[in-house]
Amino acid sequence: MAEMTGLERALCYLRGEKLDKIPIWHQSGTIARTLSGVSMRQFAFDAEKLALGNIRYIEKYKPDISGVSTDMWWAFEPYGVEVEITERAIIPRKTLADRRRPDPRIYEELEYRDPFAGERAQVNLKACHIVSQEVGNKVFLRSGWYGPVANLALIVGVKELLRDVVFFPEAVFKAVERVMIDWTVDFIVGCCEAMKPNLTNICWAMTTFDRELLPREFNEEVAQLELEAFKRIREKLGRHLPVTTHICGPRPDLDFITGKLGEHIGELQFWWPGSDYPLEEAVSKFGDRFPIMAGIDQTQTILMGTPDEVEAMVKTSVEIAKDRCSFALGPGCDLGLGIPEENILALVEARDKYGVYKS
Amino acid sequence: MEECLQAVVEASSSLRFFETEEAVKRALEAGVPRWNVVQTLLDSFHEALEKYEEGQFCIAHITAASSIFEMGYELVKLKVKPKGKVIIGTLGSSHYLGKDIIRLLFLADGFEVLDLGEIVLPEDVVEAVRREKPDIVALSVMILEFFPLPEGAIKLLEATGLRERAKVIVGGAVTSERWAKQIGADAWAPDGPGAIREVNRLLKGVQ
Repeated sequence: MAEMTGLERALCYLRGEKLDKIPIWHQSGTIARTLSGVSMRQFAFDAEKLALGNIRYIEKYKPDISGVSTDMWWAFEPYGVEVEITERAIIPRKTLADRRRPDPRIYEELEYRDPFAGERAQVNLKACHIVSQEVGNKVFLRSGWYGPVANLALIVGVKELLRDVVFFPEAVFKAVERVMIDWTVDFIVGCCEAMKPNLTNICWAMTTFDRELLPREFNEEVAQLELEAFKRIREKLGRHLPVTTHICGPRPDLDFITGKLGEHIGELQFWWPGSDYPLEEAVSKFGDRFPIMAGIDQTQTILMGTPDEVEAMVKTSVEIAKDRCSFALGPGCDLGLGIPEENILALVEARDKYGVYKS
Repeated sequence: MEECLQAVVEASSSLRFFETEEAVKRALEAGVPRWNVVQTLLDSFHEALEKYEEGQFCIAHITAASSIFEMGYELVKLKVKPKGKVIIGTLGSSHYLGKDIIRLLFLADGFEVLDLGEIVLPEDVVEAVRREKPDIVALSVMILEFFPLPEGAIKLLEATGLRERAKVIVGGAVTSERWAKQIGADAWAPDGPGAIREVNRLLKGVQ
């Protein structure tokens, strides 16, 4: 079989069709920033530099699937969420809820704000457009977005929402229904428009469904809210876009997620090695229904290991999943700064050694 | 007294923040000894942690329980001789859920705890060690971008001649014992009970 482009490879993988090699996804905002050659502040506020760093990342490390990586806070600026921009990362300094004292009025008084009203929203949309124009015909580009409950958590504070959902669940869930579903739909539809024409699925962060994060009864409610958001996104876009599960938590509840949201899922992406859900089990249970992406440990092997250990990790993952399902290698989350360059490069070498399909 | 404490137990065990606050205030107004109130709050907090260990509670419950314990502890204003001094902080990022739980566990276990907060950098740790002279330095790191920071803090402590002054324990959801050894930490713990156990072990070595 002729050598495919990353884009062709990724599309074949998602469709469950024959392909030349197992595709690889990874991306990294912090490494892209380093490659851009500018400060984090300039990276955050200059669309061309933001795009340049991500394009250089793709060209250097040769993933088949990647994205336009920066931080996740820019969309929440209209809510008054403030960030601190350091040279290592962009991190929140102020969210809406008080850290010490729970207050239901935060939720009762929450209003809709345009997710693209902030200065950095325009920067990010423009960067997506530039990257898509420059390399969108070679690699498969996508970004990860959150569901309505997770978006509310990012506005009020993650710990605060976890606390408040126990103290006054009605106020929290009413705010999600009243404001955050519409907000999430508008946000994702806007991002999808910016990533035309190659967008084929919505990468949806589902770490909310980590088995230890929320009580099961709340997860049932969260799943209903996500389903409502999926429905409205489909209505607004005028077409069905399948969902990729993006689960970077250590205890992913794949059974719950596939049980509740399965008809919308087009790809099962999760973190293994690293999480407690074995790839073997995921392949056995879901390999006949979904393409599965996993197999790269972003916190141990790729960060602290050697290229030989990276090769062994890829070999193990490929042996488990290749030929048993449509499979792609992925780390479950963005790669961080400090990962040895040779370990990232070793991913492609190992894939070329173990992950080639016979023609 | 029993009635007042029972009200604290019922409200805190049921994870009702505002009712616990009222019950603690009533207990203090009724002259219930401060230590008894704290012990009652602590029992509820430990009960929540046990339920978490048994899989009955989730992180959301623990977050609520820690919030209740902290509110009650602050209302009581207990004064006891601490068994050791710990400084604690999250390096690099603003994640503080786990760090705050560990902080409260240290506090409840009888340590004096100085919270450096979040987005802490190695130089902040060094300055705090110089200023506060702690027995233990407890550092958490939660996201990959900041994995190099704990090692940076340990090296900076060595470079400034402060490394021998305090033991260093590290942790965080995605950390490992292998990593802790690699960066030269004195201890690593995967969870709250582990952190308490390790900090007490380290304290024996210090004293």
